[in-house]
Amino acid sequence: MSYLNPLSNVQIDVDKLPSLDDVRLIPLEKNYLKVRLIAWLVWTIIFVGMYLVAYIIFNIFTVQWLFWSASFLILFLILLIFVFSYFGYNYMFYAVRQKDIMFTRGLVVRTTTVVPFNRIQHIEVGHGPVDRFFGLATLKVFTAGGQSSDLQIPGLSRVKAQQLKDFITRKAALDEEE
Amino acid sequence: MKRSETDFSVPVRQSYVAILMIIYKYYKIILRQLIPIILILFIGGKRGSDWQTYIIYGVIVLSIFSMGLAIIAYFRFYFYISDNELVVEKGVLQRKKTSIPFDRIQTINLEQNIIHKMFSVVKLEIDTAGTSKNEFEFDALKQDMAEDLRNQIMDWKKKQKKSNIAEEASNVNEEYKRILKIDIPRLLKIGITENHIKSGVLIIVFFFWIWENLSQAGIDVNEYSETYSMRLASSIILILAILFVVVSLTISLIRTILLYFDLSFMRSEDGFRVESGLLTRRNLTAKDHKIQMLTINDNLLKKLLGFKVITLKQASSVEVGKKLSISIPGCDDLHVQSVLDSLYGLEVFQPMDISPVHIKYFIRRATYTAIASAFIFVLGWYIEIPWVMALSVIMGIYIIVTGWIKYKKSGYGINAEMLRINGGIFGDRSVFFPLYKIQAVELSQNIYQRRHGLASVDIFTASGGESIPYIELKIARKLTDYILFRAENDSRKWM
Repeated sequence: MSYLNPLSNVQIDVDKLPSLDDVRLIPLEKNYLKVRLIAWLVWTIIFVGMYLVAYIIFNIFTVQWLFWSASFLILFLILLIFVFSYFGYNYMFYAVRQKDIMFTRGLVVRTTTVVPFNRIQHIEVGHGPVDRFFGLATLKVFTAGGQSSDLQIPGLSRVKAQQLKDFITRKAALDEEE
Repeated sequence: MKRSETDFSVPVRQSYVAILMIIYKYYKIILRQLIPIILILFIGGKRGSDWQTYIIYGVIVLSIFSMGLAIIAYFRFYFYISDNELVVEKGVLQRKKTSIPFDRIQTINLEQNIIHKMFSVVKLEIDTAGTSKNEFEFDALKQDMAEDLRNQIMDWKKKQKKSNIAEEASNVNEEYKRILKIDIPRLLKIGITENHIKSGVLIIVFFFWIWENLSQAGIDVNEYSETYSMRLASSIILILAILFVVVSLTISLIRTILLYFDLSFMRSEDGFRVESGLLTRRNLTAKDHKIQMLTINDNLLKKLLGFKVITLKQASSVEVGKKLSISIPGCDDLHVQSVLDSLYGLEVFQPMDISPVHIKYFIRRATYTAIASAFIFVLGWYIEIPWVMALSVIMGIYIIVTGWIKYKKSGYGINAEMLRINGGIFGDRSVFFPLYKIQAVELSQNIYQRRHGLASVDIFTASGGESIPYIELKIARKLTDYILFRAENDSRKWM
C-alpha cells in the first residue's frame, strides 16, 4: 500500500522498535530517602503543632467525639504521608535513552512519563535547602505540553543532574541543526 | 496592488478611535475590580451618607485620570517598518521599543466590534513564533491601513518562502476555498442544539452570585424567599423548571447568534480561516503547522440533525500552555471529511481500525458505583429517609448506564501517521493527533489495572492531551514505543 503515505514508505516492524521493556531503570540516590523523611518530619511537626494549638490554646476538644476524630485524623494523615514518603521512594526510577528521558513513579498509580529530547523547551537544575545539604538536585524538564507533561526527576546527585542537563541540551541543539 | 499602499517606513500612529478603545480597555479593567463595591452601593447603600459622595468623587477622579492616561498612551504609541521588522514604540512612563521580525510573525488577525464598525477601524493582533511575550495588539487601525500592513507582511513572507523553496509560481494572492458558510436557518438549528445545560449552569451561577452580593449588601434575601416559597410552594418547582428551559434556550440562542452569525469557514493553501460574529466580527486564522490536534464532537440533539463541531486546537507560540482553539459548529460529515483531507491529506485514509478498550474499564466503575450506592442506600434505610434511598438507586443506575455507554464509545485507532481516540457519553467525540506533534507519553497503572495486566496511555500535545483508558499492558507498551519512535525520528517541526 505504497500510495498511502507520501512522506515515508519504509515498512516498520513494530516488534523491533526500541521498547520500554528493554530499559534498565536507574534508582534515585539513597540520600533522597532521607530528604523525603525529613519532609515527612516537617509535616508531622506542623500537624502536631496545629493539633496542640487547637487543644491547648483554643481548647476546642472538650467535645468527646471531636477530640477522638481529630486525633484519629491527624494520626492517619501522618501515617499516610509516611507510607507515601518511605515506600514511594522504592518505585522511583529514571532512565535516559538516546532520544528520550523517562521517569517512573507511584506507589498506588504507577506512572511512566517519557519525553523525547526533540520536544524539550528548556531544562533546569533546582535544589532546595535540604537537597543542598545532601548534595542532591532535581532535574526539571519542560515541554510545550504544559504542566501535565513536564518531567521532574528529584534525588539526583548534583553532578549527575548537571551532566544530564548538559547532555540533553547538547542533544537538543543537535536536533535543532538538522 | 491597485491601491496606493500606505508607507510604513515613517512612524505611523493608530487611528484616533484608538483613544476610545484604550479608555474602554482601562474602564473595563477598573470596573471588573469594582463591580462588587458598585453593586453593594446601588443595592444596599443608604442614601445620602458621606462616604457615598466620596466614592462618587473618587470615580470621577479615576475616570478623568484614566482618560488622560489613555490620551498620553495614544500619542506615545507609534509603529513603523524598517529592515523587514515591525517596530513598535510605546509606554507612558517607560518607553518600550519592540521589534518583531517579519519571519517571526505567524498570523495576523483582524477583529471588529461594534465601536470599530461605527468608525470603520479594526483591531489587529499579531501572533509571533517564540516563547517570549511578543504578541502584539493594535487597538484601532484604519481598515485599509490594517489591510495594507497585513498584505505587506504576508507578501514579504510569501516571497521569502518562494525564494527558499524555489517552487513553481502560483498565485501571489492567497486563495481561499470556502468549506462552510452558515446561513440563518442553520444558525438557528445550531443554537437550538447547543448544550443547554451549560447555559443553564451559567445562569444558576449568575443568580447565586447576585444572591451572594445581595445578602452581603444587607438585604435579607432569606426573609423574602421564605414568604415567597410559602405562597408558591406547590408550583415553584414547575415554574423554575420552565423558566430554566426557556432562559437557557434563549441564552444559548443569543450566544450562538452573537458568536457564529454569518460564519464562513475557509481553507487556504496552508491553513484555515474563520470569519464570524454579529456585533464583534472575528477573523481567525489557523495555520496547519500550528494545529496540534483536531476534535470532532456532537451531542444528542446535534446527532439528530447530523451536526458536528470541529475544533482546531492550536499551540500558542506566545505563551506555552495558553491554548488557542477555534470551534466551527454546524458541520456535517462532508465538511468534516473535507477538513480532514485538507489538513492531514492521505494520512488519515490509511486503514485505521478502531480497537475497543478493555471491558474491565466498565466493570471497575460499575462495581465501585454499586458498592457506593448500596452503602448509601443502607445508610438511608438506617436513618429512615426515603429520598436518600431513592437518590442512591437513581444515581447508581445513572452512573452505571453512562459508564456502559462510555465504555462502548471509547476506543483508539492508529496508523503510520495518526492516532485517533474516541470517546463521549451523550455525543460522540473523536480526537485526531498527528504522531509527530506529540510532546510526551505517559503510561500509568493503578492497583486494579496492575492486577489485571492493564494500563492507560496519556498523550500530550502542545495544545492539550487525551487519554486511552484501560488497554492491555502489552499493547499499551507497544503503542508507547511506536508513538515515541515516530515523535523522535520525524524531522518535521511540530510547530
